[in-house]
Amino acid sequence: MRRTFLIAAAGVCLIAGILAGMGLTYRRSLQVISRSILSPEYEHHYLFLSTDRSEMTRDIFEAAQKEAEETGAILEWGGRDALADYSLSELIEIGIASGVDGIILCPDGEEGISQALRDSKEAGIPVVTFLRDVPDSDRVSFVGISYHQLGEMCGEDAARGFHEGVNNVCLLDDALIDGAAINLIRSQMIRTVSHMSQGRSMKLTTVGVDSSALFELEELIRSLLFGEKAPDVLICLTPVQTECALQALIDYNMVARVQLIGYYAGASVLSALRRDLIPAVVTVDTQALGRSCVRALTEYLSYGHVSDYFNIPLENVRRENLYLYQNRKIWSRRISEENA
Amino acid sequence: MREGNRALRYFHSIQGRLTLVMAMMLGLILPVNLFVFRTTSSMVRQINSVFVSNSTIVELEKALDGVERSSYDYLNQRSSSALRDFYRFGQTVRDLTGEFNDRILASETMMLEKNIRGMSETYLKVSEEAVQAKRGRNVEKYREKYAEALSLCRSIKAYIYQLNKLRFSENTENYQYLQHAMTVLESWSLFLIWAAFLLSLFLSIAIIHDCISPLKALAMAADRVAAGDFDVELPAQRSPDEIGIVSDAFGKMLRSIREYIERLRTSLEKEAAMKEKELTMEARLKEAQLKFLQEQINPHFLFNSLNAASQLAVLEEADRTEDFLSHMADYFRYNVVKTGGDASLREELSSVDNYIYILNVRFSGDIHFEKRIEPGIDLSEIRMPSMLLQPVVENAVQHGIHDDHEKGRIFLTVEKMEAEDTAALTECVRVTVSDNGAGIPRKLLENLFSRKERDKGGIALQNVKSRLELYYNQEDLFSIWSDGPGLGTEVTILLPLPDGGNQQEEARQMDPAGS
Repeated sequence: MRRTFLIAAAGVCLIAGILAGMGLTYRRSLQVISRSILSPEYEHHYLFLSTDRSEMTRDIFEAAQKEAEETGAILEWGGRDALADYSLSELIEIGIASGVDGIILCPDGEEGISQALRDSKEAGIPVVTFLRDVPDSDRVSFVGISYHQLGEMCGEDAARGFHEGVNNVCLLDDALIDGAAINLIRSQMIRTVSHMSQGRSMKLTTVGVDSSALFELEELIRSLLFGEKAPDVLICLTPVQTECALQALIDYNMVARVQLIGYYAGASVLSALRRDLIPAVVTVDTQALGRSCVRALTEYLSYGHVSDYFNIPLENVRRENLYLYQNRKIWSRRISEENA
Repeated sequence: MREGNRALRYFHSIQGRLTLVMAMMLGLILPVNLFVFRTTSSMVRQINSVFVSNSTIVELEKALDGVERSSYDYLNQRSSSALRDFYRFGQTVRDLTGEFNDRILASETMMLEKNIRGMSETYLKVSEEAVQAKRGRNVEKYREKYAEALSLCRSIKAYIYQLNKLRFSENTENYQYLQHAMTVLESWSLFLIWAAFLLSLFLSIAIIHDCISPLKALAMAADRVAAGDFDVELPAQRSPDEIGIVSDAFGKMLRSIREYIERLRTSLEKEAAMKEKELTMEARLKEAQLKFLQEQINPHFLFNSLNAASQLAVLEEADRTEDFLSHMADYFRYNVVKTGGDASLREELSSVDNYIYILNVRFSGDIHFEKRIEPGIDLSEIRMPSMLLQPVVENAVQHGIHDDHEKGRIFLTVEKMEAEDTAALTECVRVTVSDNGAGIPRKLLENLFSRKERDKGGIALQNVKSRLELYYNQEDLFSIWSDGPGLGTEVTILLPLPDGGNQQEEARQMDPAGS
């Protein structure tokens, strides 16, 4: 009788175990099905708008997204997929209609953006611009870099690679950077080079390009490289320009002849630095930039006002400090992940 | 408490246990099946809901088209049907988007729903403003609002497209996951049902076997009993169920049969012993009678002759002769009448007196016989085998004092003995016949009742002893003792009193003289 009881107890335990397992499987299935509804809830809904899909912008978005999560908000990148063809002003209007709590905007020079920013202000939705500003608009704050510092760093990096005599330096202008900013960069470059290079002179030319038009940019860079006066130093002011120029130097085997001063230390640029294909890159701290955008929005929503301008410092990355830079980036990413 | 005991008894019964088995089987299989059924149906519902969400989106898109078309018609024609359609489609859009998420969740789908919900509300508001402007004949405003509404509608549709795509992708993923989960659950369900079935089967077999095995043992025991083996041992009962009750009853019946058989056997043995005793007693009696007949003349003839002689002595006025013949006649009459039966102690003593009288006439009064009877003994009530004392007294005369009649003395005493003073442990009357004659050597005394001595002629005492023991169905009632040659002999006869002497006591109370 005792053996019977033991076998029966074991059988009941087995059945109970299977039932529990099935219950767990069923519950897990429900959780998977309902994962959207069961996902964490946030207090604010911010919209991130940028037509630029470069690695730098993605890094900025990721940083801003993490900061938003930490401050109880969700950051949505608008204008993707089905809305990819929409202009920034249309996307702002959509954001207003959707009832978002704030917009982080990287203007692309669209003319109607000021009106959209006005509408946004009327709807009580603050807009923070980053990297490029919309002067005299209703945005609440701008998070960007100092063009003065950018010119200084570009001049410094260019001067380090100068040879004796006259050095042709080509600065790739960008349609998105206004003329005043370009002038500031140029003047600061000239000042820096004049301080640094003794017995070496620089002939600085500025070539206007549209980074959003990829095929044209590639053709332009090729024509520059194979022109009558190929540049000794080529300075890029956008990540897209940097990628294209780097690829062209490799493709046309002109790495040793042309010194490329890149902009933003993305993965491919860092790899090029490691392989000594380019001497230096001027980069912006995307973590700080992204986080500053969200902080500006949060501050505005909390206090009703925020500083008009947040400056994000630039940094030179060369082969000498590449290892330190990478380690610092890894650590700062890890720390921010741990904080999250 | 009583209710609890009743419930306990019920669950110890076969009916209760079988009910318990059925309940356990149902209790095992039913929840398993219910669980499997519920899980499966719920999963199927989940799979269905996967596609329902897509159909909602399609309906929303149609409703938005309806709003757009009706608002356009109204702005163009200002017809009431278009206005009615506008509000109807507008309500449909509100109803459909009302089910959409409006919270800020970390899910792209949920955020798209939120955006669509918000934009739809704005779209309906702007469209309504356009309609109101049309009513107010404000051409510029309704154109502007219509354009704005169109742009919003386009955006909403773009979002809907994106949501649809995303949901389709998500639902496809969910469907695949659910299908996989269904497959897993199906396998486990099958295993579960089998496990429940096998466990139920095992439990049923085990419990039914537990119920039936005592019945089988009982049947085997019954077969053995039927074959005549009453020594069969029933297995111990573990539970007080119906079979336990039947087994107990069977056990009791078996014990009763055993006891009955034992009693019957004892009774038969007793009956056989009784018959044997009766036969032995008859044989002894016949033996005594034969011996008596061989040694004596025909008592009837002698008795008749003595009567005739007694009448003659009366006629001749010979008183002593008449007295002698009268005693002779009494003596022989007693022998004739009591042969084969029993007599009272009084009759036996009277016979002894007659015998002594005859001997004294014969030996000129040389036989000295003394009799002493304890007062209070009702001699008439004490029954004993007939012709018991006379042979003992005759033995004392012939073997004890035969050689010296003058000095020889024969004593006969009758006295009552209490139970604790007797070997038989019953209240009885002791009759002692002793003499001071030749005595008996020790060796002869020890072998007095052996076959050898009996063949030599010791048959009289042996006969007395056997009859006495057979009559009372008790031994140690007859004893003979002598201190040796020339030291006399003493024969003791114990006569057990019926009912431990109560009757004697009662008789004594009624007759204080003890006569």
